[in-house]
Order: sequence, then structure tokens, then C-alpha cells
Amino acid sequence: MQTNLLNELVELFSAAHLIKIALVLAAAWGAARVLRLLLERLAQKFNRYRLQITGVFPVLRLAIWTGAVAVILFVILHPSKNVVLAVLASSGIAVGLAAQDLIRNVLAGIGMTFKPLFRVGDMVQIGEHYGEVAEVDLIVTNLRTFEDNVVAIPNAEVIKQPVSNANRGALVEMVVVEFVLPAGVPVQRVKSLAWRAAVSSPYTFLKKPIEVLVEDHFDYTFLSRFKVKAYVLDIRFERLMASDITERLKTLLHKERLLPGEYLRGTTLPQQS
Amino acid sequence: MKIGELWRESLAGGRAWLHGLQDHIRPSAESRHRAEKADPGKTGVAAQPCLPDCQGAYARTTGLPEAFRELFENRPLNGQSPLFAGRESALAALCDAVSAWEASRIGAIALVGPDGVGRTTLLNRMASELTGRDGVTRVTLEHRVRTETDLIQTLSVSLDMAETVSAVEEMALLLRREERRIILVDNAQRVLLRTPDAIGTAEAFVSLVAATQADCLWVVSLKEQAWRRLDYLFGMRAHFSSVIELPYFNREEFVAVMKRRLAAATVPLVFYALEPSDKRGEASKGPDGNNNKAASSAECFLEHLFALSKGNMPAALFYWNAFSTPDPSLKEVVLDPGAGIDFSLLKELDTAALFALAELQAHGCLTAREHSEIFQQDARKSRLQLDALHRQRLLNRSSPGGDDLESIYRIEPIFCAAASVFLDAAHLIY
Repeated sequence: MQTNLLNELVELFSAAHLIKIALVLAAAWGAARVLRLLLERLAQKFNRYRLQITGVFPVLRLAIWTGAVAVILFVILHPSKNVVLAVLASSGIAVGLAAQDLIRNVLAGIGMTFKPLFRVGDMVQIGEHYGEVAEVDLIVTNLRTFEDNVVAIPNAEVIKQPVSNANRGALVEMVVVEFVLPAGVPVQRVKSLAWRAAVSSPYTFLKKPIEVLVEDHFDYTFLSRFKVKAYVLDIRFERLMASDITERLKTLLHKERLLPGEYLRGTTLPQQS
Repeated sequence: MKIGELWRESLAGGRAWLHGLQDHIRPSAESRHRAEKADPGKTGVAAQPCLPDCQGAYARTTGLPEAFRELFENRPLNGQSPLFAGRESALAALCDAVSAWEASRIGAIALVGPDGVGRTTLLNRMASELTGRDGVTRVTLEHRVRTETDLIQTLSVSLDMAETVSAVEEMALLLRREERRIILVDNAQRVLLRTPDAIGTAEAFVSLVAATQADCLWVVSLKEQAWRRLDYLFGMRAHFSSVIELPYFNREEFVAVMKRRLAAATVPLVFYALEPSDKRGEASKGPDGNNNKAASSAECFLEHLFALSKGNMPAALFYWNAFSTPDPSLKEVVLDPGAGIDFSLLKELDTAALFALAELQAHGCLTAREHSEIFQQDARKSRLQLDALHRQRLLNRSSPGGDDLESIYRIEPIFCAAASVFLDAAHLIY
């Protein structure tokens, strides 16, 4: 009985089978690579639908690898029930213990494929890391931060904590620019300048509303905190837009002598428009 | 030994195949480098990709009668031109709006469309239809309006205001006091410059239109993208009683427009059939040709022009001139259909260039100084960026004064439709 099982195992992993398995794995790898190149090319051509196109890749890649494993198991190896039971019994516990983290990550990766928390291209905050989702594979999620670092976060860690998604598959996202001025500044005028600064930025998506909110703030003295809320036309320009609005607003406030230093020095109040 | 060689050959073949596939899918810098290494003579001196020369195409017909050349020149038609065709329904809608306004109904009309659809021609025609009527004023914005003062000055001169005004509210008061009038505003896309000051100017213009609608009929012609931007910002549709959208010509309109021009041609035209050059032996004369074959060839040629230009007249006229070859004796013009322009160079442009193109696509023209204000960078850098696009013939440049920073850049009309599609796909216009 044992000899038969051994013979069967040896036959399963014969040179011919190993070559076939290698070919199938190579074909699956090649197919995934070609698919990725095609989708990248397509996303580049149709930037407007970039996130939708790249979002399809994890599902298709999982399908390719599942297909490859199925072909290896059921077409090439086709093991008998006895062999399957023997292999599972002898190696299951050992492999399971040794690779529990890996398996946990893979399971999380599979779960995220079917119930995605984000797509490739989304701007997300996971733990202390904020950036664009560069890649989601079965084991890790790669985030590209604004400093151009790639942070690899294991998938099991991703699903364990809250994930903040800024755009949820859309190309546009809200950007909030905050600034604080002395409490006595003419609020209407500053709001108008802030609105103009946001509207005139070339990165602002004008189709969505632009709002300027104001609230009181105390930090050793009474202050007014202004929040400009506008949408950026492509998430990749998020920081550029925030910087651009800040720059424009500072120029406008400086022109109207409303910057804190100038304003507090007792310059005359500008006329309300 | 044999097996080793076979293996190496297979490996090399496989790698070449993979590289070829990659090059086909994504021609990268690395693949270009490989190509240069493989054939340095071919790509050693890489020419910068650029569009064909529009002026050069027009120059092909130099020597022919001016009356003939003007038929195929890219410029707006005057009000009485017999070549006016394809926009009869839009003209009727404008005339109806005037009648409605005369019946004391409040109104303002927006004439919206991309470059090359014939907005200026339509305004010329409308002005011509209104000849003899009092109180018709034409305002053409020649440059981007930067400040409210600039706007007031431009409008005061064109509207021949009796008094000097310093704010649009005063101007509105004056306009309300005067006789009712029709004001035709061309190139209104130039009222919105994306700088904080100019945003206020656009707001002032919209408020002027809204405040004087009972006494003035404003017919405002502007580019499609500028209209959308203004609509997002100030809710333009609420202030305009009628919006006439002009798309590019459809097939029937296009053929009608071109036939009007062919009928006026004073030089015999010879159309080659749309066949590979080695099989061409048959040509047919037109438009005076008295056989069906000539008419059929002309029809085929016009179909081909429409397919290439998608109804964009400046592009169609460019192709017409590019495909025209005058006989050495200048007694006839041969029209030999060719291929369309390859716009793939757009894919090579960087983000800054695409943003500049989007701005031009929306508002028509831009100087280096305006570009530097919009993108908050040094004016010299802006000039370099715009000059680079000019060298690729994506933009044309005119220098009204000596100051290089005030040279006006515009998108080449033949390229407008393609740019629109590309920038829309890139989500830079919306």
C-alpha cells in the first residue's frame, strides 16, 4: 500500500510533469504580464477611465493564476484521492504553521479582490501612510507616497485597520486647504479672495462646487480658520493644487495687506467689496 | 554543443520576440535606445515630431487667381458671401430670437461651439441680415481681458458710450437709459482668464449681460469649453434665454458647403480617384465636366475630405490645399487624395504642455505673460514652453508688438478637433 503511494507520488512529480507545470506557470506569468502591459497602455490612452481600467487587473490576475493552478492539479497531476489525503495529512500542519502569515495575507488578498476597499490609483490612508495605491497583489498592497517612496503593507494588516479612501475609484477628489488669519480680518473679503484663488487654479475641477468655510479658533489669541474645499481634476495633482491655491491666496492677501504680519501692524482695513 | 547553441538561439529569439511585443505595446525610452543601437543611421539624428505646415499647404496654390485661392482659405466669410451654407437653421434661430426680443421679451443668446464651426461667419451673416436697423453694435474681443477696467474700456469703445464709466454697474445704467440695441459679441471666451483678477472680470461681464437684458439683446459667441467653464462658475444657462450649440458640419452640410465653393471655382479641377498611386491612371475633370464620372470623383473626394476632417472646415481646407497641385501652366488644379495627419505626437507631450494646450483649447489664445500668470511661473519659462509647442506646429504665433512675451499663441485650427478629443480623454477639459 505504502509502496504504491510512493510510486504514485514519484510518478506525479516526474520530469515530464515538472516540465509541464513549469510551462503552465510560465504561461500564466506571461499572460498576467501581457495583460498588465495592455491595461497600462489602455489606461494611459484613456486617462479619464484610468482607475476603472487598472481596477480590473487584480481580478483578472487572480483568475489567470486560479486557472493555472486548476490546470496543474486537475489536468497535469490529476492525483488520486489517497495521494491527496496523504499529502495533506503529512504536510498540512507543518506548512500551515510555517506559512500562517503568508496564508493570512493571501486570504486577505483574495478577500480584497472580491470586496475591494480601494482600487489601484486611489488615494488612501492606511495607518500612518498616505499615498496612491500603486499595486495590489495577493500578499501586499503597495502605496506610493508624495515623497515617491513605495510602502508595502501586508494585506492582513490592511483589512485589520480603518482605511480612509479619498476618491473611491473616481478621478477627482476633494482637497482641503486650510489657513489661519487674525480674528479681525474682513471675513467676506477673505472668503471672496479664497474662492477666486481656488477657481483660478488650473488644477481645480470646476464642475464640482467650491466652498470656503470659516470657523473660530483659539491659539494663544483669537483667530479665524478658513477652509477652502475644492476638487482636483486628477488625484495625481492633489499636492500641486493645494500648493497652487496657497500660493495664489498668499499673493492676494499680500496685495490686500491681509497677511498676519501686515495686518497686525495696524495697516488700514481694506474696503469691503 | 548543438543543444547549447539551440538553447541560446531560442533564448535570443524569445527575448527579441518579447522586446518586439513590448515595443508594440509601449514604445519605451529603452526600446528607442535599442532601435538606435540597432540602426544608428535611421534614428541617430532624431527629428522632433511636428504637424504639417499649414501655411506651406496654402502656398501650394500660389500663382493661381486670388479669387480661386480665397475660396479655400481658412478665414471667416463676410456677411454677404454667397459661400455661406450649412448654418441656415442656426441663422433662423438667431433671427427668431431677435423677433422675440423685439416683442419685448427679455433675452440673451449664447452661440457656442468649438473652433472652426463658423461662429464668426454666422455673426457676420446676422449683422448683414440686420443691416439698416438702428442700434446694432459689434464687439470683438481681440485679446484676453485681464481686469474689469480692461473690460470696461473695450466695451466702452465698441459700444460708443457717451460717458466715461468706471464700473460695470454704471455701464449697465447707461445702457438701460439709451435706445434698445442689439450687441453682437465675438470671441467672448477671452473674457475669462484663469487668474484671480480676471475671474472677477468674467463675473462682471456676466452681471452686465444679466442686468441689461431688458434693453439690450446680447448675442454672445464663445468657445464650447469657455462656455462650460463659465457655466460651472456662474450658472450661465440661467442668464441666457437661448443657447445655440454649433457642432462641426455633418456630412450633408459639409458636402453642401464644399459644393458651393466648387461651383464658384474659376479654375478647372481634376480629381484623382481614391486608389493606390500605382493604379491611378484615370482622372476626371470637374466641376464643369459633363460626365457622371467627374461628378462621382468629386463626390468621392469630398467624402474623403469629410472622413479626414470630421466636418471641421479649417482641417478640410488644409487637406484641400495639401492635396492640390496646380498644373505647371496654371490652367487646372489636380486634386490627389492622400492620407490624414498623424496626431500621435500628442502622446509624447508632458503634463505642462498638455495643461497649456487645455488652456488654449478653452480660451483660444494665450501670451507667455498670461501663461506665466495662470501657471505661476517665470514668464521666460512660459515662453519656452509655448515656443516648444509652436516649433511642433501645434500652435501658431503672431507678434503684434515688439515684446516677445506679448506674442499671441493660438492652437492650429487643423488640430483643434484632435486636441479636443485627446485632452478630453486625459480629463484636462471636461
